[in-house]
Amino acid sequence: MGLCGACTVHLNGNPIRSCVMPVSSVGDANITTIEHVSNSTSGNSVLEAWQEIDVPQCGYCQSGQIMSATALLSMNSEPSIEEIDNAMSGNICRCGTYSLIRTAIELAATTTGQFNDK
Amino acid sequence: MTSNPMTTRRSFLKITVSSAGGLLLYSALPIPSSANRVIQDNQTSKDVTFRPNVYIDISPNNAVFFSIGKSEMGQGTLTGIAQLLADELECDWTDISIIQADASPEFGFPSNGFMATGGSSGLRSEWDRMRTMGATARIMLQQAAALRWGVKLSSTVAMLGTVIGPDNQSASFGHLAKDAAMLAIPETVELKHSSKRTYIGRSVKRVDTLQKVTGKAQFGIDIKLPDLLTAIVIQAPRIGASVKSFDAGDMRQRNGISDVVQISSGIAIVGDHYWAVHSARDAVAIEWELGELSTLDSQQIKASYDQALNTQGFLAEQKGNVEELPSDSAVTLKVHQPFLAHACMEPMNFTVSITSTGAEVWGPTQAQSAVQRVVAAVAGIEPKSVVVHTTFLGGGFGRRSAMDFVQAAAEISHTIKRPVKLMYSREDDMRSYRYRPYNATLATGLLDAAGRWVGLDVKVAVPSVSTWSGFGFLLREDGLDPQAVEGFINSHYDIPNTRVEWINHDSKVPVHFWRSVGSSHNPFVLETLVDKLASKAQKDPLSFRRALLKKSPRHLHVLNRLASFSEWTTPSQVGVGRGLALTEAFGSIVAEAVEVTMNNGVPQVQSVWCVVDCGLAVNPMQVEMQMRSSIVYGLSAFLRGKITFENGTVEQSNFHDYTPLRMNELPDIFVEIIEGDDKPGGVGEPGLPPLLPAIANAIYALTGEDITELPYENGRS
Repeated sequence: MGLCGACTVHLNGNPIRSCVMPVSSVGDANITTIEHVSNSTSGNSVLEAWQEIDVPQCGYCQSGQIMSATALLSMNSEPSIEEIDNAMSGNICRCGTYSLIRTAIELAATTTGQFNDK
Repeated sequence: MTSNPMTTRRSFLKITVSSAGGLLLYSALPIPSSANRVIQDNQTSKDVTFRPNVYIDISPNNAVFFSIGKSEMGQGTLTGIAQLLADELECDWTDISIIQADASPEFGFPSNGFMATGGSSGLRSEWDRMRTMGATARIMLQQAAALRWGVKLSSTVAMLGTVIGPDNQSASFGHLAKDAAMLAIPETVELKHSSKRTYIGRSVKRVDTLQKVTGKAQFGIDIKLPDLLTAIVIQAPRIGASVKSFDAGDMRQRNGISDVVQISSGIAIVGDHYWAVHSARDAVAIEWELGELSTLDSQQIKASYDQALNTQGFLAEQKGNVEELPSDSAVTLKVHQPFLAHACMEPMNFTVSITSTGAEVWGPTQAQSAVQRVVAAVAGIEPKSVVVHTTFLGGGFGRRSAMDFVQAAAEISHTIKRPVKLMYSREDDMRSYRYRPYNATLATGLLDAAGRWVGLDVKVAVPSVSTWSGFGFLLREDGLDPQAVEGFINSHYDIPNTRVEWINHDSKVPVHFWRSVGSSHNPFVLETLVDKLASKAQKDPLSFRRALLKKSPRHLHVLNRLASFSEWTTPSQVGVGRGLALTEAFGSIVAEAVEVTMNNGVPQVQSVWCVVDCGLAVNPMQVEMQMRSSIVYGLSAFLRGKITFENGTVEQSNFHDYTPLRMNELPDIFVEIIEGDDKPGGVGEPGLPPLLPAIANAIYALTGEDITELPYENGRS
């Protein structure tokens, strides 16, 4: 449990693994899931970059990757590769999209977020 | 198709970030993908007007629907096949939606109607048919336009969803659809010349990206139906055990639990949702009848494979006379390679509804025709009447062509007479067998007095994975399972004397196709043997191989390209080992070179260079991504991949003890695609076979260590 990161959501903007977070401990904190990550500037930038770079393969880990990446950029707008790795290494990808994830995060750090989901 | 800006040498990350031009090579193609969608509920457009075949629907508003029967597990098949159709059809990419087709023979292999996805065969097997279907539709639209305008067919041209006439008349496909639907379908059509291709050969963006970044993609685990129950199955903790008796106590009265039933693979707990049934696992008292494998452990397995190598097997290949060669200059390796789990991100699951009127199923499967047979047998109906809906697959790697989870779901639904979604936990999944087979190989390479490689004598002990996987029809007429000896027989190396023997030794642990199958283990032995022979002949690994490829120009070219791409001949830094390997699998030739450092006895792969000849790269970006994917998958296996047994129980259970590569372990990866034949070779698997031996060869070059057991941790001397 809490081993792969695919379940990552935001609790008050911080990335948490929902599979090991009891509902009873959430209280009245804000929970954000993948469906609403585009509501924030960093989320929007991440989604735009993910689409621009065409990151996903099977896609199963991608919601969690996007949530972790969004949380990272909301706290650190210009992360180094080490900082990216530290923030993202809790998210496993069996399809090996790691290189594109890194590139997408670096791209997202440079854009202002104009994601269009039509 | 030559190297691309995304993978130019070490600074590629900096280039792609700081210079927008580098990134934009792929995205500058004027083919936006945001409008594309993959539809899985098989609601064919109600507006369909023109359907010349089951693969193409065109509606009056110009919407184009491609029905595609291949399972999308990340390899990009829906995008690639759509490119084949769209290229000949000449529609506008933004008008396309993909319908994930239900099971039907027209969506099976053209050769036999069997519907399945695997063997890196999607584009290869559909190359002719899809282009022909697209061209047929286009010709009919042009004919409709020609008739309408009173002009010759040959004076019309189709592009971007419009037919244009000789005097600048134009009509969209949508406007022509109704007329085209009334025309006779031509029996033969001429396909485009390769120079006229529009979508094939270009890095079009994937059709499924939007859904996968917005959380809208539907995987099997996401299926929701009215009145759907959820089930888990408690399977035997020790392999081969069966249920002797069970006592569910008052479980059926528990909140959220509706039933506890015995099926052939164990005890199923059925209820309202996953947590209700999963948390009830320990509440069922089960008495297990132990089977003959109940004390199986990895020491026994290893010993039995060692013994098997002393027995006689099936002679798969014999050229010249290897026994008569002098053996004073020979290298012999005995290599053991472990069971490997697929460890897909999405655990196995399947949803089945068997009623008195039939069967309808949903889920992430790679083998729809097999699903029909399995469900039909449980339901007592004809296979063709089983309706199979395929979702996205959260990883496949071969695991999803197995039928264990389909069989179990069908049995539960049939027993309780309700629709049910069966879910495996990660632990269930990791311990559900269907592994890449454990195998042991004894390989001897013989050199002549001049240091040329003149003999190869191989005995490989491995079970028939094709038979276990339910694909017994792949066996050769004489009973040979080609997967057992793939990579050893019909070698691209010019070795005049060969003897390859297959010992069908079976530990009875269920095994299954795993990414690159026989090529996941045989090339490891061959390519590490090559480097040791090269060393004995006092030649470097590159020139030793070159000399053996005079009759294999395509392979030689790939190897030579790798040498320059990786700057092989420049001296490596102190403390850095370099290794390479060359393999062919599933219709493509791949060579990889690796640089490795050793940190306290643990190898760190710093860089991987990959050169691939996949014939025609239908989508170069996706080809590159599959090479990267295979490299990461293979690196996980090399470093830590193993499934071991102790007292009949699998020791691994989740990602903490079957640990895949994480982002912080990623090497720099550089991929180059080179042109070969004008038709696609496989792409999902071929990048994996050369990686493991390349790493082993790099370690051998650095430390002299022979790696004869995987994963690496086992091989440390």
